[in-house]
Amino acid sequence: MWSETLQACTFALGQSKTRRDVDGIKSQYLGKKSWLQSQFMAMKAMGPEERKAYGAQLNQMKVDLTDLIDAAYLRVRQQELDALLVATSVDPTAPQRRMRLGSRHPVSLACARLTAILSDFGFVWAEGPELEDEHHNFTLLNVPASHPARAEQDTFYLESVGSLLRTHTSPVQIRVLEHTAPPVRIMAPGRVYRSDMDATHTPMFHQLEGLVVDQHVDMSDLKGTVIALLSSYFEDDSLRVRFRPGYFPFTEPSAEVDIWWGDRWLEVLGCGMVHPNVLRGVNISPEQWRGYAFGVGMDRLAMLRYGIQDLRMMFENDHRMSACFSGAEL
Amino acid sequence: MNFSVPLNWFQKAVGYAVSVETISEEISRLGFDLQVHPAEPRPPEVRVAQVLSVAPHPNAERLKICDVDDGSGLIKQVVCGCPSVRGGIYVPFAPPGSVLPRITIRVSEIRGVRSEGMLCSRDDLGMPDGLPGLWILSSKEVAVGDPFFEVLGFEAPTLVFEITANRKDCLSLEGLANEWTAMIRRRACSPLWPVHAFEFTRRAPLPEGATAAFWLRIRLHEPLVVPASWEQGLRALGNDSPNPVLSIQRWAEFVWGCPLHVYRGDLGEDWSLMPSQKPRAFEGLDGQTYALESSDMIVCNEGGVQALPGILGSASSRYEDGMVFWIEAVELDPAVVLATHKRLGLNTQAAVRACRGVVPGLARQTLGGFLALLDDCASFTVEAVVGEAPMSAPREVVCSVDTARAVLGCDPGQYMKEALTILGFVPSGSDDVFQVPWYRDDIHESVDLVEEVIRYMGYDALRAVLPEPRQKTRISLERRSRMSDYWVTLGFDETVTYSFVNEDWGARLGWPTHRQLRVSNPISSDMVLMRQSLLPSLLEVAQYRARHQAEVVALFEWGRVYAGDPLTEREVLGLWISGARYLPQAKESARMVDYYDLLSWVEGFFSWMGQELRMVSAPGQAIFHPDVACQLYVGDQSVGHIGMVHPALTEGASCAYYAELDVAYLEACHRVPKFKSFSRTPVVHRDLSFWVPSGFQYGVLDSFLRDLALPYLQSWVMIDHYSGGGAVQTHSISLRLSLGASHSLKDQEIDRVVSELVSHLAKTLSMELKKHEDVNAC
Repeated sequence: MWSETLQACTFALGQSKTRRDVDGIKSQYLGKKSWLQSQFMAMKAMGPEERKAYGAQLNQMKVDLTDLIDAAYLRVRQQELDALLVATSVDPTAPQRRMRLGSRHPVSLACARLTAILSDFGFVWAEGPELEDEHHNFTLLNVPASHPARAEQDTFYLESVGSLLRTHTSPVQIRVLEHTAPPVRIMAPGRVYRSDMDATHTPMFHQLEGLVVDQHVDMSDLKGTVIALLSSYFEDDSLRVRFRPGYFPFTEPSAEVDIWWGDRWLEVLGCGMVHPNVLRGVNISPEQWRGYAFGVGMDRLAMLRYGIQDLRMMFENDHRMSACFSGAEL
Repeated sequence: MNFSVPLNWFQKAVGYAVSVETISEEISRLGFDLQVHPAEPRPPEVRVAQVLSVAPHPNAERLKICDVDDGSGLIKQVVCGCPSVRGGIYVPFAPPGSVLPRITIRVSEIRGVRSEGMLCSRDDLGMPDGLPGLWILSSKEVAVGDPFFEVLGFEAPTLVFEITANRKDCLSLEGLANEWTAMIRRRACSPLWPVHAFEFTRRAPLPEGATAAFWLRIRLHEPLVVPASWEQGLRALGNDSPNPVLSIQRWAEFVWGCPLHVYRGDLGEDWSLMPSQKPRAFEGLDGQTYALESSDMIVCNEGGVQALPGILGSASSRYEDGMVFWIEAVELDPAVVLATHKRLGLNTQAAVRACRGVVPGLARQTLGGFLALLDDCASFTVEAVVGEAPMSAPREVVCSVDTARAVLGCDPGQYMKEALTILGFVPSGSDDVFQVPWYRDDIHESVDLVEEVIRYMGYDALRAVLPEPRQKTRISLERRSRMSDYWVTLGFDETVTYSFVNEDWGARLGWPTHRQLRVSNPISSDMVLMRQSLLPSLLEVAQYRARHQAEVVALFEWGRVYAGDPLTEREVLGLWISGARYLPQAKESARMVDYYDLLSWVEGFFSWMGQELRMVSAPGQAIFHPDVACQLYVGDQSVGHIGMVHPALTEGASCAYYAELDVAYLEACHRVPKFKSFSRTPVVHRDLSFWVPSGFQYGVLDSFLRDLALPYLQSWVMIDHYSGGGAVQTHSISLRLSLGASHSLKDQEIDRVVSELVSHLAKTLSMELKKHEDVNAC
């Protein structure tokens, strides 16, 4: 009987393919309704001696069956696992679901760099409208009525009376000073518009305005800040920076700033000491307060840092150009 | 503002042979820029020769045989057909071998007489529109044997100076030379011509907006001959008028800077400058008739309106030639000229100059210069001087060394007085007061003088005080950078597109007509309308990319949108996807993006910022598919919209999806992450299936459950939905509920919540629990 039972079980297990098969066999041979279990129950009616001997045999049999079944479990588990491995096997080197990484726009990268640097110098972000009026864009910036910049060939006027598209970020200086008592230290990046379109001009471009108004600032602070800004931006402590005379109606003295690039000086920035008329216009006493301001062409700086040759590419948004700027580096 | 000077004239004016290289290097110290235009190449063989004698040609009546000394040591025999040839004159001579524009000179026989070269006219030398006949030179300017083009400066390049708008005084040869000499050589410059003085013979009142007006009647006693060296300068400046009076007028304008105007000499003396005061017609010398308004400034005399000052002379007053002429100079407020010139659309060269304005004093200076030039060329009489030019007291400006030091951050020391004196500022009384020279109308207050001082010292004298690092303030740009990175990681490219779009978009996207905002002077028809959405711009980029073989198109842009009446602008974040979901190669590359791709990214974006987004169906927007469009909310605040771009806009190309988010909200929604206590007991799930009415929207159910706020119900999600059936359309959905509490939930508690929910949904949203489905406990 014993050996028949073991043989039958061994045979059944040999046929089993899944854990569920083995579960069934286990329940058949060791479960509550199994013959073995019934024999354990039957022992209750036996005398002590007989029970002891029979019990030992039954226990041995249980151990043998359990060993057989456990071994079967191990086998089918391994088989299942092998099947799973086969089923889930892929070529791990094949890029099957490749995401295309996106990109920041180079002007946006330049802007992020410049503002991060200025932020370290304590400049606070400010903004103003792009739909400006003549008063803020010109008059309060000390630009005389006859100044050529006001002419239609430079400025986009809107059909709404007295309004125009700002030609520079400098009106943000006025917007801030109208509402903020000095000292102020702001930076204002943004879009500006001029009616010009050729190889080196686009009707829209980007400037970053910086303004400091305080009691004891002078032109050496301006020069130092501009040099620090440019050399940090280009990550070049030995960047050659040249200040030379310039003219802006809203600064006096004014300066143009060039950097030495390859084999020549390149103009990258205009700046100066805030003109007393600008301060008077917003009811700030030029006797008590002095300021400096600078305006950077961010498109030009982006082109220099990232090696873009043609300004027009900046607004074409070609995906092949975008692909050059994917990732997180500024 | 550009000012052109031939190099040789710049050198004469500054009094030394400064090189182009030096000028290029040093010009930035003046604050100006420089471009150099090389001169046209000229035949180098042409020399100055003297005609020694003239004899008739034996075989031709109109030809003459000339003996010519060209400085080579041999007397040349030249056959010449020009009637003006005579003994003693100096002329340009092209020896054999010269390559002139139209002819190569060779030794030849003309009607049997040997000719060894050619005596030249302007035309022969490639300078058209000159006076006819031989170019007769003055022995004061040239000597026999001189290389003709070189000695007269024709080989000099032209320097084009870009002058800053505040320095009108440098838009003249003399002004520029003065500035150069003071700033670079640190001394005063001596003038090329001492200007003549003249007195009024008749006064004329000045109108408001004018500081001087002069009309001089001049009678020439002999024909004018413009020296060849001036002609070289004038030609380099683009002037090739053969009229010597007009040439000298132009030369005076070049040297001193005030625009002049010449009238015929037989006009009356009763000149005046005044507003038109009534509408009238004006016939210009360009042959056009212009309608004047009462505010337009006119020049008139007994004969009527003779000119629009600074813009255009009248047809009837035009000077052609003759020994008598009037010459005019006025100093007029540029705004007055500008208004007329703009309204009449007259873009004359004169108007461009007049619009820059004329510094008080310059009219007299330039006219005096004109007389000095005339004096070099012919004898003449000034018969009448009409006009008015009141003298104004020189302006005084206070500037102390302390002020300069405070502004510059460095000590100007002894440079201050030196610089200002050399630049023509005269110390007046006290040490710190300076008289401004009349030609410097850009100097008004102390900082203006400070700028003069630092320009004189050189900007390299400025110290650079490096900024100290300060405490960093939280800036929204940094936050924006991080937001950009979210989209970059998902594969979106940042774009920058123009803020103006083609006018068509207003109608196509249904922007209200009265709120459409146009540029009144657009640069092209594609850039007329200020955009009210970034969609048109991103659509154009997507189309461009599709044309250029981009499979995946995902774009984002930070940009403003604008509207008129009232003027508004606000910043939005535009998001666009179209094309494939993944790059090719992928098994799934055939899968195109869909609405839920964009929706899930937008939802994720808000979650990333700690905000929970809610979608409310918003049909009927022109930009979106009529059914697939939502307004986005956080709480009750609208934060943007999303939808499938209307196929009519994408013109049947692949489906595109667009969202526009309100940046003001994105920048303001600041949430500090907060810990919330959570239950460690397991969450219980219940799946329920419902029949739903047609037109069911999950968003409505979602909002309803949110508002219902049943106890223990923590979240829910739609796990399945089905539409189908035969004759009768049927729709059903499956919901998975998640319930939890701080204690382990009992079955009765769960059942109570579920049955309450089922009855609410049936009553309010007509959702019927599916009878034969199991309600499974998971």
